Amino acid sequence: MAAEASTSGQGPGEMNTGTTERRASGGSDAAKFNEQKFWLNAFTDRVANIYARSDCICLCDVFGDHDKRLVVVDASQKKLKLWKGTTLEAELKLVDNPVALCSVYGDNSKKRIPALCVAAGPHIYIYRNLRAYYKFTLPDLAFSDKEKQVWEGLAEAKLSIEQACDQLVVLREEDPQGGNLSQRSNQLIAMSLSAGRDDMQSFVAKAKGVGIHEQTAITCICSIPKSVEDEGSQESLLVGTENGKLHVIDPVKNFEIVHTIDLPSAPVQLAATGAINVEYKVVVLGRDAKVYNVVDGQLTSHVLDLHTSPIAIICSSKFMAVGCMNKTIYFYNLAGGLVHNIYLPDHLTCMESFSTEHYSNMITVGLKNGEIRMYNEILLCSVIKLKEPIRALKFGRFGREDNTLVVTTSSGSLDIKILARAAKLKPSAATSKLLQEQVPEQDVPLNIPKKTRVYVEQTKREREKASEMHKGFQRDLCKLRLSTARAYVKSITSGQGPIWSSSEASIITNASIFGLGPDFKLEFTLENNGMKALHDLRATITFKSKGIKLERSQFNISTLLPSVQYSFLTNLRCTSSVGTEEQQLKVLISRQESCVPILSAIVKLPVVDQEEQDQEPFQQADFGASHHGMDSKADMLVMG
Amino acid sequence: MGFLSKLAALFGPGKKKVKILVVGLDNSGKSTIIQKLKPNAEKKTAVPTVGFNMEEFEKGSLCFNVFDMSGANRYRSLWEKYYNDAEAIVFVVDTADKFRMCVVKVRMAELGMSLNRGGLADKTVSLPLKDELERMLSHAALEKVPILFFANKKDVINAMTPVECAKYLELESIQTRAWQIIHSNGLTGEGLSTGIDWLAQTLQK
Repeated sequence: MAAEASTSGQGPGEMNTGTTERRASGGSDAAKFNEQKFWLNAFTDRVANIYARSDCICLCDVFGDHDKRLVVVDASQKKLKLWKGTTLEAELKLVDNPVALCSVYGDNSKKRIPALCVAAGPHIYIYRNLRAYYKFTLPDLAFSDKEKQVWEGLAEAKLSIEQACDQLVVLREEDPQGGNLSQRSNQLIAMSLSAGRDDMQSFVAKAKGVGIHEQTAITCICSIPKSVEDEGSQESLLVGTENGKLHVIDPVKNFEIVHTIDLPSAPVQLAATGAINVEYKVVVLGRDAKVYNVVDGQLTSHVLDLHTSPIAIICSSKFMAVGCMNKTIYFYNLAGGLVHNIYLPDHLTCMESFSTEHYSNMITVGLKNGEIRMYNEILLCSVIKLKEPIRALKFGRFGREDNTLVVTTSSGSLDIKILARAAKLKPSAATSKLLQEQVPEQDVPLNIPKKTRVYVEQTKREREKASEMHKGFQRDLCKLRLSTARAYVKSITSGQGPIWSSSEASIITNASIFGLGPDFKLEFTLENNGMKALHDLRATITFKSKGIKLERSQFNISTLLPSVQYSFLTNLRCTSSVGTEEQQLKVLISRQESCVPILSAIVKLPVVDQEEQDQEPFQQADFGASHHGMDSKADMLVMG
Repeated sequence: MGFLSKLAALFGPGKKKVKILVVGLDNSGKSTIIQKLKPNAEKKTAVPTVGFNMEEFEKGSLCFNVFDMSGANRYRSLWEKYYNDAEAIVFVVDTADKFRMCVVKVRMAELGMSLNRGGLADKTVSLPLKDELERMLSHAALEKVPILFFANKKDVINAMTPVECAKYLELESIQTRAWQIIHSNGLTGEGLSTGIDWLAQTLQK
């Protein structure tokens, strides 16, 4: 035995670190989770034949003997089934197709026996000790007097059927939603369009003398404690109806409607927290994909629009979770702000919240691919994989075992699992650390400097004298623009810029230097952008340094034709070191008739290495021949 | 056992004291069995034990010092605190509660694993979860301690027989210590004395 223990004996702690590492590496890899780590397979019945959603399953101490039974109402078979442990203890035939099931502790008797409430159509059938005890029926819907008058008229033959139909159509038009007429009236209108006169007459004859009694249908029920949230304490029943009403029903006062809340839409699912007599909140999942909040009997203005179809809702004292058809569970805080969301690998079918002695606010989710996922708030703790899509989940005390999970699948099989005592559903240190790391990013405050006195005074002044400051700024801006424009005009007219323009022509010049030194080549180009040719221009190259020798410093340009680029070349040599200020060469262009240059270009000589100047005599000898040719070419171009 | 202690055992005033730990799931009938075993003392009806109770009674030449542990989920972690002192274990199994048998023993067949439990287990396959029995048997302090199983509640219809029970709990794999399974009924006391006699015999060996 000891040998066995050692071969199989990994402590639960070690195993859990294994799980958490996997979880941290990727939640999608659910197959790696070993379901048996946390859940014991207590009972499996593949042919249990249960076709019920989570709403129709309940774990309830039916006979008050502290041995909780599993109660299931099955709409497909119109049956109520009761499991005790692994045996099917009882089966009851139901009168109507059940919609929802819920247990309510009502009476004040010493032996606490809950009432089983089965909602079906407009009725709630209440069973106690598994015996029919009471039948609650929703109150009749109120219809307008005008409609009643129409039917009275029909009964007394004051109105013909055609007239009655016309009047009913008018009545129907009065309500934009069209929900104000009784089924009987709607049927008559429909018959007037298709059915024969005989049918209509028999229909009217049948209705003769019978008042309009119609009820709406119940969509969901849910129990809520009255004053203490303890097992076995008195509870009230919340009932949602098809016509958008939420009734609070007191089981002690003979199942009387205590309070009614109007909802904008038909409720689909209810989730309640708190206690009726203290403080309570009901979260209502509407059919219009919105979540409504009812706090202390009042519908609040806070409505959550989900934009996608919700499937299930869970409300706890800390958060609210809504599972939606886009494979996502959204978590909202109590103020209604979206806090987190969980993306699931497949479509969600059902959702159940659970708390154990050590873990609270847990969520378990059934998926279409047969996975049951357990989340500790938002962190995945455990995955169970079944072979079929999950239909319903229920967590609670079953028999004598507190932490039992009841699972039904699409083929009607029943699985009951027990949470092992040693199960550690806590998210690992690694993942919770990850989570913690995510949160502070948002909480770190920006490094905003403190408000100094100067700053405060400045802002105060800005607030008080805003218009004057704006005006002053605009005036200064105008002045700046004016002086800029003036300077520009001056530079153009005095020939200090590279562009010159007059009424008849404009010239652009550009000068550049080639070579590494001490021999350079200076090239400047001239382009006439005007429409007319320019004549008799003179280009002069000036420089301050004595160490620069220019081959040619003057060019006569006889003609500048429009849109032709002329380039002029000359060689220059640096004979001695040149100071930084003296490195500049200016190309000035002037007209023959005036001495003021019309435009200028400035080039800078690169720094010349002194050593290379030793070769000066040789290069100088070479100078004349090669560059005379160039000049003549430039002149030719100008001439051309 | 030394000579002096042998003498003391033969002629000494006190009988030999043995400490026995009674464990099992809640509602399996531990306290009821112990109440039944106590000779002529006031018989109380058993209520769910909180923590543990201590009882003492004599049987033959032995004085049993019984720790009646609570089987409730939250007190099960208390069991192992008393393993060091225990000279024998009485494990009470509720044969009528088939639903919770899995808490006592996780069956390998259900796990879909071909684990060889004879000792040559594949070391790479770790046992996923220790059940209550496994947890106890693998405890180092209880290596040689004899175990008596009471397959209790034999009066309940559809209850498991001791053979079925032993098979379910895979008791045949226990080879390093003495064990016995007795069909019992805590309410009438049926089978209890047989079990205690076996325990006394085993302890005196």
